[in-house]
Amino acid sequence: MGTDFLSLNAELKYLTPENTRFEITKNGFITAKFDRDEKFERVHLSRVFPHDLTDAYISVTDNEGNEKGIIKALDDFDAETADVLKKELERKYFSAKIIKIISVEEKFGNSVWMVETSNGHRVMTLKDTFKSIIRIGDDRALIVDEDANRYEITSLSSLDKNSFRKIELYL
Amino acid sequence: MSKSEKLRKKLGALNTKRKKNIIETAEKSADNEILFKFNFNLDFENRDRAGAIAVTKEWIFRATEACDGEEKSPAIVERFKISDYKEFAVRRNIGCVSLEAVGEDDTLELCRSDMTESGVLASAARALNSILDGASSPDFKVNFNAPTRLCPKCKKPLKKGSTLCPRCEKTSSMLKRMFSMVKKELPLLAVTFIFFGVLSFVKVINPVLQKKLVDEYITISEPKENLLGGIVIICLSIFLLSVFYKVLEILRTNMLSFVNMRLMKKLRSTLFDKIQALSVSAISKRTAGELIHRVSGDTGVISNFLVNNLPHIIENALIILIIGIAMFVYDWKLALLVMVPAPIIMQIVRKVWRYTHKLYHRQWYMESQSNTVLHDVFQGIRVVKVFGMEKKEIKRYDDVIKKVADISEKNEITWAMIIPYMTYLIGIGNYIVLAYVGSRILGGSMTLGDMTMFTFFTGQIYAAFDWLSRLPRQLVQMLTSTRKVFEIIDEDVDVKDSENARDIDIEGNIELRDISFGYDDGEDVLKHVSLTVKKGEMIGIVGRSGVGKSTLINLIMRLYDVRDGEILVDGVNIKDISQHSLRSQIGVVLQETFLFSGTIYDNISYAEPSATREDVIRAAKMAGAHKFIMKLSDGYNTRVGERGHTLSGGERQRIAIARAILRNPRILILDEATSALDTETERLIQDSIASLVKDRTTFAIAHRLSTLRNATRLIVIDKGKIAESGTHEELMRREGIYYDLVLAQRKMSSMTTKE
Repeated sequence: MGTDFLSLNAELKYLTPENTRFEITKNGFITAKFDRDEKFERVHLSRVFPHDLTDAYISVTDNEGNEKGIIKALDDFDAETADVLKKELERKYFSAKIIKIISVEEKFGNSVWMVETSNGHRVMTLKDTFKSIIRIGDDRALIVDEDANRYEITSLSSLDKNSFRKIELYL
Repeated sequence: MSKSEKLRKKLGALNTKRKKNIIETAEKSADNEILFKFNFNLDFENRDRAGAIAVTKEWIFRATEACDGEEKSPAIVERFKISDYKEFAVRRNIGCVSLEAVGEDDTLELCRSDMTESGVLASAARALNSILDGASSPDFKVNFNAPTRLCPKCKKPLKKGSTLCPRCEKTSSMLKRMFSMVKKELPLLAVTFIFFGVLSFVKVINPVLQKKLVDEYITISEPKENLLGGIVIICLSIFLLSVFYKVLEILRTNMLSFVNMRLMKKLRSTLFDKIQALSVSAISKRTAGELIHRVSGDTGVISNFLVNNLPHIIENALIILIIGIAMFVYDWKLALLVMVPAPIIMQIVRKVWRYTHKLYHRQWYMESQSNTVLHDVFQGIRVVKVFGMEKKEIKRYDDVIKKVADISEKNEITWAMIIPYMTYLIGIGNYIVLAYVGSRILGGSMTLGDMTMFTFFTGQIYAAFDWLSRLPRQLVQMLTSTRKVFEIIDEDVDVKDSENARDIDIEGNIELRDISFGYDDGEDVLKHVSLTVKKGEMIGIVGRSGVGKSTLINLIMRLYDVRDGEILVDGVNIKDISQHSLRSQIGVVLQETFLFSGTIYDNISYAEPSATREDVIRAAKMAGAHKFIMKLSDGYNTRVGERGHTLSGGERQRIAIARAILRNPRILILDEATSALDTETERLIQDSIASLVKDRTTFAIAHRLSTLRNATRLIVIDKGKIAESGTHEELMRREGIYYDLVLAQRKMSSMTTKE
């Protein structure tokens, strides 16, 4: 069965350089002007597939949470705009990148991790270690601590041997 | 102290210093009395940057470190006038949170933090808004509820409701708490320990008798007077001793079962009582499966450890002690030789401890994952069948059980690798004894009886070490379970009766006085809501999904406590009414009707166990349920299965209404009570609802606005506030949100009719 009925019944509006103009305010937020629409003083960006498509399929909503459309690929826009939008997404999705794992201490089902990240040293507590580690593909891992802070190991295979050994059992 | 612990402490101290310095800078820059202050830890681009905000009645002072982490770098200080903004809001991003000042033309980000500080920023936004709202009023007040409960050891904030700090818990403290929980059962446990002590002693006597037998009767060179009699007496003693041993063992086993049952019951009821006492918000943090596992699984592990392992620890420790002393008395050199492998074994045990814990935790996790898959599939079996996904589900289950099998295999292999080495190490002692004693016998300084006795002693003492070396696995399991159980037992009850809480007879006058409420650290779902309801009124609550309609009635039922403001029932703050008294006078019919496993009669009389059979039938008649119940072959004795699967939605709903009627509540809450029903059934139920709401204060939520036609008044909730209030006609004339909702529904209904 084809899926034409989907495109007939559910409109997916794509935002392109032709129909959308993004700008940055003096305080660093994004404004947008869409075709035939008034200017939106503040729009918000969200990744539709945050785990595997960081710069594609970006949903744009107004202050009320109404979706104005989807950007299929940020790189469709000129380099300057794409950069502004990427920075905005980086601001919204914050996960410190783990460079080194200094220690992992198990304590009664919880674990206390001491790590070196792109944002300096961090001590995090994982409420349920196994549940807190989300594998993304074979080589990436997202770790969510008890406070909902996020940490990312961008390449498990690039971790130094000592660090990998400390977390191997949880993967 | 380990290297990482030292580093952690150093970093902690550095961070505290940075926070302290920057907050002092912000304080110094303030020109007036500081109402509240707080730290933040990220800059606009999510870089690590210490900062602080100090707020006075008119200004916000922000101090930010100029450079990353350099203590002496000059801080940048800015100030912002509060009245330049119309609102302060917290924006919850993914992994970070920011506090924004919303102006007429533009928005300004005041500060940004990781999620650890999200509660602080939410409190700050509320406090700043209250300054905006009430700065000019005489009773101006600011509530800045920053988390105040800190771990006494590491000074880090504890999770809401929790008294346990995951960073600072120690095995010894966990054991202490476990014993404190079962201290009433300790005398019984002590009796079983005595049995174990006696058994250990009996084990020591046996080899002594054997030595006597060998040395004095078997290996003698010359015949002895009454030789046979002596042999018989010693053999009989050994026999009687083993009978005595067996009898004691049987008594001990019975005693253990008895203590086990008592302990299990005690642990489970303590935990279950605590869960019942917790608020809905505290309970909903965990899944039903998790709670079931805590009540049945974890308590079982603790009880099993206390009853089956702890006495063995004592027994084996006693064996090591008694036999150790006996051996030293007989021959100290030999005793030393036997004891030499002990520290090595204990060292290995320590290493194995950490490793096996991870292995088994992982296995446990994978097993629970496979249970989750089973749970999912069986719960959603209809969906699986309808979409023809059987093969996919089989593969999914196969994958997960393969993982379980792989991990179990790996664990077993690991154990199989570890155990022989341990056994080998343990066996080394025996060879040493044989070599040493053998040479002494040849030299004539020891007898064959000595060898028999020492070999027996060595066997016993090494068996004790062997048993103790396997202990870590059980100990770790027990400590993990204890931690999980205590996490609930120690949790603060957030909705509790005040000291002067009393029972009252409710008439039904309700007043919401400027209430605000938000879940956890999130933004307020309801903001400054005020409403007065007279007894007997029926209030229809209307609004789009997620605007806080159900939250409002949850607050009236006191399933949660309001953050600000108060709810009065007949002029009494609901916090001063005992929860039992309040809820026993509230009747509820929800959209999703839950029927307990049992008969229809049990389910209706659940609301009022003392009700007579006649009362139950009358209630069912009023709810329009009697007719269909009588059509069932077992009438009121019909068993309704798990979640009432055997009944239709309408039938279940009518039972729920009968349950509410039977309670004869003064306050009635109908939360989408008829939304799952077809129009015809709904019409039938509407009549029963009409008889139910008569003379009772009623709050009804319904998406289908036509079902609220009997309401005295309708309130429309929008953006957390009461946006409109009045009768249907009044609201239609106003042509506001309600008018739009009604038009939208009419349009939808005419489209459905045309189809």
